[in-house]
Amino acid sequence: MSQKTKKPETESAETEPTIAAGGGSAWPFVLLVVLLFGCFLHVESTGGAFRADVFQAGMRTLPPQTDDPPAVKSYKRGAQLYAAGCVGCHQATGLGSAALNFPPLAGSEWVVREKPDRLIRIMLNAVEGPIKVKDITYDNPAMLAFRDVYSDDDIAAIATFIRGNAEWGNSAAFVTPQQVKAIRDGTAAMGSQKWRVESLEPVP
Amino acid sequence: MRHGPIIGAGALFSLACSWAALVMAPQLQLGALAPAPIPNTSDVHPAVRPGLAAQGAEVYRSLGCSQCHTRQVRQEALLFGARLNDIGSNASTINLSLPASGTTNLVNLDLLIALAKARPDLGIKNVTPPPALAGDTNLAPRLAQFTKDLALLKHADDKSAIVRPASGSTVNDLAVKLPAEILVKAGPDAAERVVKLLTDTGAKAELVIYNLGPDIERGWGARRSVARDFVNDSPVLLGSVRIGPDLASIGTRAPEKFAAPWKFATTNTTDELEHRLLVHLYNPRLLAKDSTCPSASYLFDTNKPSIRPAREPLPSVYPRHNAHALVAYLMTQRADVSLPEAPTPAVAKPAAPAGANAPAKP
Amino acid sequence: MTTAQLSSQTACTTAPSVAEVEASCRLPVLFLAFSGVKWLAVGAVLALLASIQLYNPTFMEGCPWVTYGRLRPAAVNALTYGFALQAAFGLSLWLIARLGRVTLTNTLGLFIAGMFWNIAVTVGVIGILAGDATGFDLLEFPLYAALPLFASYALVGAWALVTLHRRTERDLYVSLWFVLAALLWFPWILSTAQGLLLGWQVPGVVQAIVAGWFANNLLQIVLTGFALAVLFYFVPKTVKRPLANPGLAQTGFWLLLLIGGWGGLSQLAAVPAWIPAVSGAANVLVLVPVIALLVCLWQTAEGKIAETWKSNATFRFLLVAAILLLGVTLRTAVFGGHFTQFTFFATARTDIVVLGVFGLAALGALHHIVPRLTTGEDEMPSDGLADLAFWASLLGVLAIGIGFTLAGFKQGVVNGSAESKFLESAVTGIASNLKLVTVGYGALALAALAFLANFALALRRCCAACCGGAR
Repeated sequence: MSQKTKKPETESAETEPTIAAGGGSAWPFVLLVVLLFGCFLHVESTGGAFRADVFQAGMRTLPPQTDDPPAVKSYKRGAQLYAAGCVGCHQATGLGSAALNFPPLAGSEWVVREKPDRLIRIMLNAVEGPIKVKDITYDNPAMLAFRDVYSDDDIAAIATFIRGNAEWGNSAAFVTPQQVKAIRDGTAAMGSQKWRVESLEPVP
Repeated sequence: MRHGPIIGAGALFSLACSWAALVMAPQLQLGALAPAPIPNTSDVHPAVRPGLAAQGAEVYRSLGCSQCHTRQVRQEALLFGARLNDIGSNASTINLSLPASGTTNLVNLDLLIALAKARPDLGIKNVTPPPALAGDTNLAPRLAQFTKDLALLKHADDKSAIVRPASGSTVNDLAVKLPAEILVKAGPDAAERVVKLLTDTGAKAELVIYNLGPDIERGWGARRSVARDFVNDSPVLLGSVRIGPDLASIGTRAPEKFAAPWKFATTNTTDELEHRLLVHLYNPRLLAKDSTCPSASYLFDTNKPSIRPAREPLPSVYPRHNAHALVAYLMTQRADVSLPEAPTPAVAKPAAPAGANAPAKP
Repeated sequence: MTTAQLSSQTACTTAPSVAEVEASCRLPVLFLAFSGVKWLAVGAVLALLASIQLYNPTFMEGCPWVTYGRLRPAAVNALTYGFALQAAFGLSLWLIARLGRVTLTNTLGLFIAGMFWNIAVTVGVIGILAGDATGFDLLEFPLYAALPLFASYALVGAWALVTLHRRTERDLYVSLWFVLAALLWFPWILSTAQGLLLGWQVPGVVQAIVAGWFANNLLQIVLTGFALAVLFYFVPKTVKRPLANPGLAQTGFWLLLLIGGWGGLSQLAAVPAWIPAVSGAANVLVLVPVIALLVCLWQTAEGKIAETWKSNATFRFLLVAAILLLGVTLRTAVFGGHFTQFTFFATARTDIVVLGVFGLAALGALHHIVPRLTTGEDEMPSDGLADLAFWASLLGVLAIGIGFTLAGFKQGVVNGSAESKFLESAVTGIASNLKLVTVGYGALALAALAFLANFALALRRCCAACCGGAR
């Protein structure tokens, strides 16, 4: 290439590059679609669903509840269950309604006892007949038996919530599913029969 | 194509697409990121740097340290485990020591069953009370229940074709020394299941986190670096090449994890690390003889400075203000704080429950 | 079938002759070309000094002005802004004038804007050495250099666009698409990045994202675009054939613009996972337009490659630049992910694009343009110096690319396993590769000097001709 002569190439230097006729190919688009599909799979599997807090796909962090001890988890679940199944009568305040014959739970001596045995029994089979709560006597047969509605976990959760609700002024200890199971098994013979105050009194 | 404006408009449209996706979208996602509270303290991470460290950030930028050092810890995997902290005390907990002996030997029978379910690779022994307690009316029904549970467990094992070793260690030995690692480096679902199994028996168990990856094994950080680590930085000097080690967590790095490992001689570890960093700045090859880091001896003075009372890092030289600032900045580098998006093994202890701490008496 | 014939009906009756067009180019294009290659020599020497420090840390130790952390960004920015972009402006002006068959608007103004550009780059490089670097890759110039830089670009860009608007040849040839896109692209990414990083200061890692977005756009669209403009002009011209398959070129052009700007962030670790995922996908997708454009060029030159290689000095540069473009795109697509994160592998990409893809294409083009504008001949005065410039720059780019890439792979292995000792394997263990890089920068500096010498010869011959040959 060092043998280049200064031959007059003026012609090519003066003219501009030209364009051939026709052209256009489909293969880039086919290749693009194939690669796009691969890229889609790539982003799908490693993109972490476009979330701002996922820094590596598949590196799942656990929901924060798992940091709660079981009693707190149970309490939180109990709050949800209470809001779904109990507020109708006992109200969100836990005060019930003296006018409508719904006994209160907040500060109720039936609820915040040292042992939860009476409360669990009432929740499982309900209670009927006159019952005296905080010096007012209620008599409402509407209380439902939840034996077949809620599991041990659920009843323990609701009981934990009711007994430990600081907003209501309650601060009794939490209830475990094992405690509920023991009572459920022990009172299985009652079937759908409801408690009466007299039959509950001997229970501690 | 004859029309320049069409090409121009097309070009600007293409650019706008990539701008929207890679500049605007990240800004919308990350622009409002704020420091996160550090569990169990009143501090936040990342902390606002004190004055000297802020000046050190300028020295770091000015000397171009980020040309050789990244500040991004990589992580390959996040795995979980379950740790048993306390066997708890509830209905199924029995004391196998004689009441008169003054000692207790508590055994949580439900927990043993749960441990056996969590660890199909270990055997399980029956629990036999000492002969003196054989007639204890409190124990008898519970032990009977345990025998029943054992039979159920055996049945379940057979159904799912689990064969437990006849000899060797058993789950009964697991709970002897607490805390005990029940499950190590498993997926989140398995670990969660085991923790639930254990806590349902009244025992205290917690989820353990394993951050894995070469960077973390090297001790360059306890977890991956995330966007939140940099919310107080400007400019954000992440670095893109590791000609030297990563500095994301240099302020918390263990002494044996340095290129030239050493051991803390005193309890004032901060002071020692600062001294070490100053020596490194003065001449990196005093510590690691193969280091290719350029010396920053111009940050040191051979005469005692009049303004700054100095600890004396080296026999004959004294760090100038910028050297102290740079070290102060490096000491603020930490990737060990647990964040929601990047937890670290030092998981916070559970907060007090809403009610009382003990379960209701049965 | 020439473009001139095609549009002869619309061509303005006052279309200037080729001689007039070239006369108007002479001052600004020669100035930008000469000072551009001058910066190539300066930048290569700075990079050479910096690369020695990588394995010989006591080299030039003890002075903050020449510590590696300042020398390396000074070199990279000198090469990018001083050499690559400046040469690109010169080439764009020439392409616009020739292909648009129009005399340049305001040649004196362009010359003065070019001078200011050089002053701004000088101030910026000195600013980096003095410790005022911003810390963002390819954006290290401090604000007091970045603002004049942008202002002088605004003048160059505006006059270039005015010239383009005044063209008498209405059909836009392929090269002008790339020139137009790059001339519009550059100010937008520069102002966005400078505004968000130095002005408004977006919070946190968004800064790193913006800087990465800018750097990728600069390499993938602006500099690659200028290189492609040169390739599409000179390949048909040197093989003396019409450009085959212009439809394919059009497809490639639009796809490159649409896809090219999305890459570059695939190796950030402290950002949400979707950003590297999307960016990595774009790094692969960009293969489609690059291959389409190169196939178009290959179809044009097919069968005449060996012949043209021997007969034409410019074509040699272009062929290597085209191969490097394919190579750099492939290597980023295949290895540009997790394995090579935080290694010299990414450094190599910047160097190959700036010095190899664009640099070689530009040097090739200048080997045609400079003699046209000085002596009026088709060849540089000294064939020997032209050969030296070619082989030295080829060796230089290959040595830099291979040295950094191999070093990157070694670092990647160490990054991926805590078993291997970091200091021994990833720092001192790559010294041999880095020595190759040093050789590469040396060769590149030599190539720049050879070209400058040839340039000076041509200027002297030109002056001699003008002044009557007395001296």
